[in-house]
Amino acid sequence: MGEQKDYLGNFEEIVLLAVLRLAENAYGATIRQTVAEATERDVSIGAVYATLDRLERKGYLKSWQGEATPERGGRAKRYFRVEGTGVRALNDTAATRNRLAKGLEFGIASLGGLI
Amino acid sequence: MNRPMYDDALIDMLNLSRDDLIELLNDIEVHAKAFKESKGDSEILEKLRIEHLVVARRLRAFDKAMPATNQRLPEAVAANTAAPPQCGERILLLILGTKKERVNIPGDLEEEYRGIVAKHGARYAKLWYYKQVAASAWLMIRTAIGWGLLASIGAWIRRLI
Repeated sequence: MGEQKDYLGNFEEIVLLAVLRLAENAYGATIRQTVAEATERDVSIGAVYATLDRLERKGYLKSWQGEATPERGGRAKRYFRVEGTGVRALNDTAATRNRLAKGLEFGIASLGGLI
Repeated sequence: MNRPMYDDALIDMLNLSRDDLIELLNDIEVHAKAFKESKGDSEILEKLRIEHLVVARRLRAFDKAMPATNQRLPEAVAANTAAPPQCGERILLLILGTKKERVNIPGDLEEEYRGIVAKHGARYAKLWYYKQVAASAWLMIRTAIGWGLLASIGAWIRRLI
């Protein structure tokens, strides 16, 4: 089977992709907004932070405290950056999904129609 | 009426002190009285009434932020004084576990709250804020109960072994 692969949960994958997309500007508020826009759902900041903390514990993300700004009531931002292991986990998850979905486009569409 | 109408944007731009706001409030009252007596244009009277409401609200916000002072608000604060609902913020601080969370999460919500006030108004923003607090609280409670349950199962297995 080879080396152990890293797989991500659905929401973990979305959050990790949002952090990657935001690059230098990835902190709580912008990540929540990006996820909410992409999923077209009102996502809670608590859910985003719970996922970010979990991803950091797994070593997929790194965080550090930024500057405090007046528009945040003088509170500091916590910035996030995706680590190499995080990128690998994203690739592994995407590759597995693609392998399983390959050739199923017609099957998935007709299943959806039947249900 | 040869004077500009003071709205939130103009008050922010001029960075008015508490004394300025009081002077402005008096000026509006004098104008309104004179207009009423001369049976002036009702449209202007309505504008003065709205202006009075805006300035009085700003004065209350000023006193709340800096009681018993007459200093100008810092520029960035004056640019947007909309603060999230205190009750919601207190609940949030109560449910957040770590010191880091108590700094970062309310800061993120406050930043977004100001953007929402500017875009959709204070009422919508307050509702959004409370929704965020409620959703986060529910998540924390669920996680806490989940961990508690796991701990009990662990203890039960240990007893069996």
